[in-house]
Amino acid sequence: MSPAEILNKLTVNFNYVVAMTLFIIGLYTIISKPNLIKKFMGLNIMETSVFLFVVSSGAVMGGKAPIVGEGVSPGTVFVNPIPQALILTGIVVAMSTTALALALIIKLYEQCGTLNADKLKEIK
Amino acid sequence: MLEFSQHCPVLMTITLLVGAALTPIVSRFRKKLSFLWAMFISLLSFFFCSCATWRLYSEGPISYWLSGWEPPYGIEVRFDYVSTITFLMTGLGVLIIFYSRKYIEHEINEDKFSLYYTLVLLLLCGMVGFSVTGDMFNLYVFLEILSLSGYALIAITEEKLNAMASFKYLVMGAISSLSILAGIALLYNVTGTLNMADMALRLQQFPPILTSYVALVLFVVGFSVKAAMFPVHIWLPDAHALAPSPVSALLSGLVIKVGIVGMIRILYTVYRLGGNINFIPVTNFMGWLAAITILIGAFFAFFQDDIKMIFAYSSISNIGYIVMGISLVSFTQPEKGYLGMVGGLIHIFNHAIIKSTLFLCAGALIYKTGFRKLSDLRGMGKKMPITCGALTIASISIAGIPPTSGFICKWYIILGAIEFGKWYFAAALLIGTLLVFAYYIKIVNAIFFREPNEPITKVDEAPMSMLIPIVLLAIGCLVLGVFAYLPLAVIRPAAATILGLPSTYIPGG
Amino acid sequence: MKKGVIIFALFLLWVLLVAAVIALPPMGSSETPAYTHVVPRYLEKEVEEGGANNIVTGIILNYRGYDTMGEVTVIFTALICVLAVLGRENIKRHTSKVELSSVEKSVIVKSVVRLLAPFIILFALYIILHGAESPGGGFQGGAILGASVIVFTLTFGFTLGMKKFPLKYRTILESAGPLSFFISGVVALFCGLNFLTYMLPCINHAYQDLVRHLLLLIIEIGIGIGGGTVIGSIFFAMEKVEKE
Repeated sequence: MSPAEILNKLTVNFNYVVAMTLFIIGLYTIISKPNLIKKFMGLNIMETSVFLFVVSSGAVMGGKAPIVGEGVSPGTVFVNPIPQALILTGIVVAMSTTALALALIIKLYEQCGTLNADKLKEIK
Repeated sequence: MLEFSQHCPVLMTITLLVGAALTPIVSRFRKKLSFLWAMFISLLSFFFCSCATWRLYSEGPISYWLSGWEPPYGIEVRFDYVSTITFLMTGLGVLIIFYSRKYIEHEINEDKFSLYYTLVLLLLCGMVGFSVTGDMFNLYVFLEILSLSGYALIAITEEKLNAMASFKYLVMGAISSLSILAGIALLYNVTGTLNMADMALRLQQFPPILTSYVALVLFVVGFSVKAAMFPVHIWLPDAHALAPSPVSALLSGLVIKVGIVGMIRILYTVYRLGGNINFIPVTNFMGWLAAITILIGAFFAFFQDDIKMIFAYSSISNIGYIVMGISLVSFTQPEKGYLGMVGGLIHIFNHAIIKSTLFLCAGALIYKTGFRKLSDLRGMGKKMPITCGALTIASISIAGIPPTSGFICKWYIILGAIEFGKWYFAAALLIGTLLVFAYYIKIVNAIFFREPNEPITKVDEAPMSMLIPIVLLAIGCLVLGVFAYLPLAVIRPAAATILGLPSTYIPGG
Repeated sequence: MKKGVIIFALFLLWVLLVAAVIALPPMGSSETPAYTHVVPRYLEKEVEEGGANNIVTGIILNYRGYDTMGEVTVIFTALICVLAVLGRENIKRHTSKVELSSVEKSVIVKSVVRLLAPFIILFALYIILHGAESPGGGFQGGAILGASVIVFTLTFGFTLGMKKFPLKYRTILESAGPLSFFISGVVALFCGLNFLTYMLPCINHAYQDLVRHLLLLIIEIGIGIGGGTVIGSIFFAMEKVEKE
């Protein structure tokens, strides 16, 4: 691909690029921050980035929400409903992971009195 | 009967799922009831699984359409030859739940008993559902059920280190799940479908684009974390060594195999051999990593003193064998990869049984003595002869001495490596085996032939409820080794269908 | 040094991922493989086959119902995981930090919550029951229901919260999600159909559509109530503090 084409693709698929950037930012947060809550926020950023990617991939120009009923004319263009259905599941899974991670953080703080990963390593 | 057995692949998942949902309610009536209930549910699920397996070998793979929608539109549950691993999962599940009854009194608070059984049932449900599904997103959902219950089972005790090990596992596991989800999302955008078989067809129709390759890399990375391959194995030793022993047996025996099943599904069901996308560079790279994994795992195991730590590192090493076996394939000549594939798949079965035996024996030793260090366990062989006998049988099996089950899989993997002229893989495998042999000799020596540090007085044989599963599993190790044609008969069609050959394929025939 | 290596590796990963996504078909186009393969059937036939005007609800409950069953189980798993890590609250042994703090709750907050709580619950029920026709459904309604439990407990104190939402009932309601799915799904097995089929030919033709709506309604209510209770119970487990 020529540079102009790449630039064009970058602007057309801008949402995707932003999602992937967020994915990397989240990963960096997990690796570099010592605080467990921050690590775990990085995880949430990563989750959100994947959701953003999937939901954007369901978009259709000029599409309406996929609800049939009164006031919706027969020829209406709907957006792709599958990504929305998938992401509903994804959000629930993310919420469950969040709940468990927070529970572990609470327990660790009660037992060790710190949330710094470097200090926690020394406690052993 | 035939009519009914068609429902079995989905019934065995549903049974575990509903059983788990009912466990807290059942245990409200009487605390003791939760154990019996978990036993009943796992036995029922084992029964359904046996029916499904019986039908698989008499009628061929079962394709079950949930809600009656045909595959690309609805979800398909597919019980094929790879899914026979569910037989192992439910069977081991029954034994481990039986074993847990006495053991958990030792490590877990009394109010958490019913939660423990619920989580074990959910873990089994996740694994079974994962192994039989034919839909990509369904795979992810069940992967999450099993991962979440796995994290919590490690942290169910009150120890400080457990919560930390669990958190480490959670962070790495969540990253790997997300990488798998991102892979699914990319692949969905390339193919427009979520059904695995349909996805494979659509991948052949379009010219390959870069996205498919990146998705493959994301999948392989994600499942490598779940399977604890080098260099992403770092969560495993703490998590598996610190968890309660029955949980270690489940995690080490079965949960890490789920990563392997996922890899097989992705590589050989979705990205087919001989298709549009040549993934041999990826499998080659996996082979190299597997060789390093074997050596690293065996090397670190050698220097441990904690008995469960040794087994945990040994699991890493064994995952290396399995991955090496399944990565020895050729893109254009599927027959060439047959031997390695058979070896890898048999090792999934054998390692599950052997490693469960080892962890359950370690659990019995810890339950009776309270010691985990090898130096404290000296001379236990005379006090607990049955447990230590089983431990010895399992140790010999895992070291791969000929009459036992560990030998046959390594033999096949070495043959597979030589088939491809990769003698260095065979060499890595042999060095790994020697190291394994050395450290298991160390265990057997310490337990049987060394004098105890201080005279042991109050230790006697473990209770019946722990001995029965241990003895059954030890007999399993011996039987699978002496009558090696039994597992081979089960594995051969699986290996052949994975490679795209007819299920009756016999090399040279 | 270490940081530099990490940033460099992540940069390479970023380039790889961006290269992967810009190779995808342009966003918003209606010619993509994703929009032309499976979706047309959903858009055209869902109302007739699935029986919900909201196509997303139709996909969630009907075409991909098994996924949703797994999803409901994930919520249930999350609760059991949190309880396994932190333990259940006990009305005799536990209190909360909110209750222990010396700051008096203002009258305004209390009256507003008292006034609004019934409406929040009503709204949640509306969202749950109206999921087939408009945006919403069991999960969204359940989250609102859970939020109402949390708001009530934060304002009127932990002890009262535990009394109003007693453990006895919560233990049963928590499993409502998976169980309602099971009940609705297993009916089809007796008609000789596949699990989770809602359109049952073995009953009188006139009632088929009614039965289908009834089964879907059971699931929606189960998801909503189960989800709400799970959120409430997770909150109780996390908020509790041992009494002195």
